[in-house]
Amino acid sequence: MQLSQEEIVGYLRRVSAFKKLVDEQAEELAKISQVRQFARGDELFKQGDKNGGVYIVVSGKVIIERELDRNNSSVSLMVAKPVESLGEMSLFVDAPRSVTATALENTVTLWIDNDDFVSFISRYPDLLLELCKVLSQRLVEAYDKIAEVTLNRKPRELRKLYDKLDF
Amino acid sequence: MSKTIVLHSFRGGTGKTNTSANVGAILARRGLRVGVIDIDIQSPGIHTLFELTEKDVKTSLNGYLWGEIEIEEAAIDVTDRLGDEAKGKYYLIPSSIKASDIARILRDGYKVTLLDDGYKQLLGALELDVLIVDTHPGLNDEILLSMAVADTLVVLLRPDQQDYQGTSISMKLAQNLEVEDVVLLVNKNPPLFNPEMVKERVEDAYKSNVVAVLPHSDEMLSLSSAKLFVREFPDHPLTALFEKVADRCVV
Ligand SMILES: Nc1ncnc2c1ncn2[C@@H]1O[C@H](COP(=O)(O)OP(=O)(O)OP(=O)(O)O)[C@@H](O)[C@H]1O
Ligand SMILES: [Mg+2]
Repeated sequence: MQLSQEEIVGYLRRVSAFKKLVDEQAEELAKISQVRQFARGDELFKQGDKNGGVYIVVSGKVIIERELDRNNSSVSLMVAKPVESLGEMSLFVDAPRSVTATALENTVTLWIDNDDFVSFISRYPDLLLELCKVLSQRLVEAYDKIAEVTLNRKPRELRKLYDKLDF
Repeated sequence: MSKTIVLHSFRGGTGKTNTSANVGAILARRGLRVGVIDIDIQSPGIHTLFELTEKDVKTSLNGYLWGEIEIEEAAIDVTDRLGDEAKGKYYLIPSSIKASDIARILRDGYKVTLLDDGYKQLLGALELDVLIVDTHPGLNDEILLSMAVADTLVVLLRPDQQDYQGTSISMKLAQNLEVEDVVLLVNKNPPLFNPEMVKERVEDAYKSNVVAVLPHSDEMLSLSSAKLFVREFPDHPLTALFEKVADRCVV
């Protein structure tokens, strides 16, 4: 799939972290964006990978999962849909990917290399602030997920019994 | 009749395992169909009283809790350990003693809520009159689930301050879980303590019946959980007391 510069700018502007992009910034960002396509089942990146970059979903869906050591299981954390970004964590943390991202259907993304993106965004503090908001929101969602997982840890039958223990 | 009897103690080493195996043996000798299940999954032990080793235990409770087998497939017929005069049947449902299985339990856990269905299934499939449940000391998911389905809960304790305090927590728990029938069993009573007085004191403290006060016994200690006491020492006073516990369990 080919995307014109204008189309790329259009997609970038709809990303919540980039709402405040002014025209020159949007064009600058479009220049460092590459179109990357994935077939259903392809991995965008794998937990443990070192390749740093941010993806923006243009079309399709991507599931983000944390893989667990035990018997090939994994916990699904979120599904990224069009104009949602993923992989921003790798921007500021020099660590391997903490999750695996897999295309759930044929998916088109924009990809921006970490170094290019950091040198771009560090010149625009209000964009950086906007990105911080998005990342903080992800953190809130992660806490919610932890609470949910912890609460449900004991099966319902057991929770009922534990509820009776209120001495 | 079809009863589930759960043995529990707040602290370890009170004699749950030896009591489970011996009381079960008495009931099976009398002609009942008895099962004894080791739900001390992290530190199983009862198999040694039946002189079983790792290679004798091919299937276990673990397999059932992992969803791999039916629970009755884990039962081992140990009736021959009772001598020729046994009129009933005696089954042991062991937990696995394979290091790799214990590691797997610790790492992956298991579906603990299968346990109470498992008890029912065992009672049915093996046509048991009595299922005796030997537990890990203290409180955990398994104990809670087991207490909640127990027809009789036997709470063991030694005449010891630490046991006394812990037992009050267990008794409160049993009360909150509305266990129908709870009895206390004092074990390892030292020769210096008058058993009648110990019984009175414990009953007074917990407002529950003490089924027996079992003396400390060097013969029991010397068996070192390698054999069934009631088989080795049929005329010992401790055997008579185990008979008393057995009577109470099946009323
Ligand atoms: N009446 C008794 N007199 C002397 N020793 C005893 C008596 N009853 C049990 N023992 C010994 O105490 C030890 C612990 O007994 P047992 O394994 O039956 O206790 P338990 O409550 O199952 O322990 P755990 O909590 O570790 O599962 C064993 O060595 C056993 O031989
Ligand atoms: Mg034991």
